[in-house]
Amino acid sequence: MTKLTRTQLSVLASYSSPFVLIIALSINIILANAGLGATPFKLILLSASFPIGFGIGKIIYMKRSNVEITFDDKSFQVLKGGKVLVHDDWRNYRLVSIHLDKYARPDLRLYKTRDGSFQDLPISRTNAQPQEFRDYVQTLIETKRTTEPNPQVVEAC
Amino acid sequence: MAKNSKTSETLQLLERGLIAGRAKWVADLSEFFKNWRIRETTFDLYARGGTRNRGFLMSRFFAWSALPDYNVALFCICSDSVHPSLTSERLRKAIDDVIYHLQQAELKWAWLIVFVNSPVPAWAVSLVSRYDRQELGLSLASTTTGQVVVSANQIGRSIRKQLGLNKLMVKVAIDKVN
Repeated sequence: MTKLTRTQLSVLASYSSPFVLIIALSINIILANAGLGATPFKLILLSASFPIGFGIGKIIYMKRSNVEITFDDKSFQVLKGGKVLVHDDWRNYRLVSIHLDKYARPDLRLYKTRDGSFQDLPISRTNAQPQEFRDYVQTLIETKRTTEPNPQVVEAC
Repeated sequence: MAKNSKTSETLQLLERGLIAGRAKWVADLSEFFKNWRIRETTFDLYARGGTRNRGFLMSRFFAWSALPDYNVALFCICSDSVHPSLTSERLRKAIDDVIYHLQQAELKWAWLIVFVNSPVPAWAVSLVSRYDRQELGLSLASTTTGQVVVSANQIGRSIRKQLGLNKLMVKVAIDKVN
């Protein structure tokens, strides 16, 4: 299985920044209470709030917002925060396109029928190159369709 | 094979620009298909969208209040993928198929761009430059010389500037020389 994923820095920053702030304030209060408010090491101690805050933010991000797309020649699945959102076979789809979402981010759209029901793959939240991945998926879908056994032919045999 | 040819690479560059929002001043193209078939013609690229931009607050309000809500499309063909070769008959057939799709999908207007891997033939220059149907903008672009020919209507003229085809072909021609 090939895996596509990417850390979305803006989302990670939004999760982490409150914790960075809270930890920095806590360190400041602890130092002030301990009578170390004017120590030259204060800045070094305060800087510890960044790795701790981002560490907590990363844990929450991985649990809630990290998007992963895993796929092989037969099937694919979309996971968000470790939960499986979609699991399906390529052969169930007939058409693929690059679709820009409302923020103009390029995602992949898989159609079961032309202009019919579809499934979106959020590749903009992974490290996939939209055009290359679309071409790859299109090849997969076309290959699956051409190698699928035709029931009438099988019956005739 | 056509996949690695100069015309296909140029098409890929054009598509990349459109995905990045190059056409946003005239159309908000939101979906891009490869090898889209309409009747007997297979288009190497088919992009569809509308004239009303997306956006967040102000731009969305402006689009909703000031811009018309038309469906539009862009079609591209690489001469490499036309077998045995691009002829006047085949180009007319492609135009007819785009017009057919315009009516079927209730599009307001469409662009058709053909990339050729040779200097643009005289018959094609004549056909395209005299084309004046309002709802279809036509263009022929040579990946060897960088020459761009557009139809004599408003939609056709917008291909040069709004879609950035002129700039793209200059870049492609310079890359070829280098």
